Amino acid sequence: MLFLYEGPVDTGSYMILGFGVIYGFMAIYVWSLNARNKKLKEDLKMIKDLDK
Amino acid sequence: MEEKPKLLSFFDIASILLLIAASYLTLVFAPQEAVMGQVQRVFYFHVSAGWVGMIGFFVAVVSGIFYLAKGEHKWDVAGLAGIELGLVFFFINIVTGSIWARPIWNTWWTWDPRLVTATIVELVYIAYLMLRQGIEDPDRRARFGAIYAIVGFVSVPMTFLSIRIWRTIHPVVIGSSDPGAEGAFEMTADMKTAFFFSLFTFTVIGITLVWHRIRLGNLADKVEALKLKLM
Repeated sequence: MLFLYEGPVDTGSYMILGFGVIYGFMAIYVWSLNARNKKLKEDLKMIKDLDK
Repeated sequence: MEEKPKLLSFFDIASILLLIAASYLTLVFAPQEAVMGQVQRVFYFHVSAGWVGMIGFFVAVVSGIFYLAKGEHKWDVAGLAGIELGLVFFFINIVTGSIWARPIWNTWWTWDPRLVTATIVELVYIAYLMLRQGIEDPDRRARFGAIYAIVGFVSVPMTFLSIRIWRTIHPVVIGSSDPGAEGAFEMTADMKTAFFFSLFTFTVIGITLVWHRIRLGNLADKVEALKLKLM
């Protein structure tokens, strides 16, 4: 009777999309923090140079 | 800028290692759900992202109360950091929920109480960022931010409780679901391990990111103060 058993639905592509969104947005946020930090450090250096 | 604390470096490394371990538990260790298939694995990080979002908004409430009580600018920086973190993770929560819903509910979106209230939370805090930018005076901006964060937080428990008090098709995995819920399932012991480990991992990631965001806020204030001094 095994042929009557219906296995789980094939939803693998949605799982990949879901994890892609999770890792992707977390990576974008970390990149954004890093980029803003870098820009502020450059601004700080420029201000200190101007102040001399 | 002051040197990066050693504890923050520890949190950075711990966050990466925990995320790798949590990914293994959710993608490999946890068994495949019998009806929904692989997409159910998104659930572990979907709930964890929502949890971190709520923590972020709660950080803003606590910071808001401290700002109003003490008037120290550092609490405004912490509040903004909490809201930014909350927005990012709540957005991940909403989008992954929509991806899960497509094969399970056969739609990307439905006007269900949970989905609507979660979107209201996101919009409330997007409005916070936009309105903040319109206030030039730092003290007024901080006072506005503190009061808004406290009042706006009302929408957060409303979202959490929405699936427990209204008729909904959104499943309640921990606790009893509405009979009309679509996609409810019983967690096995291995699923529970993956779930609680994911919650812990995202909490550590949340603490790490909010700490980085607070440091960024402090640096921005320092640059702004020096710019004003030069003028």
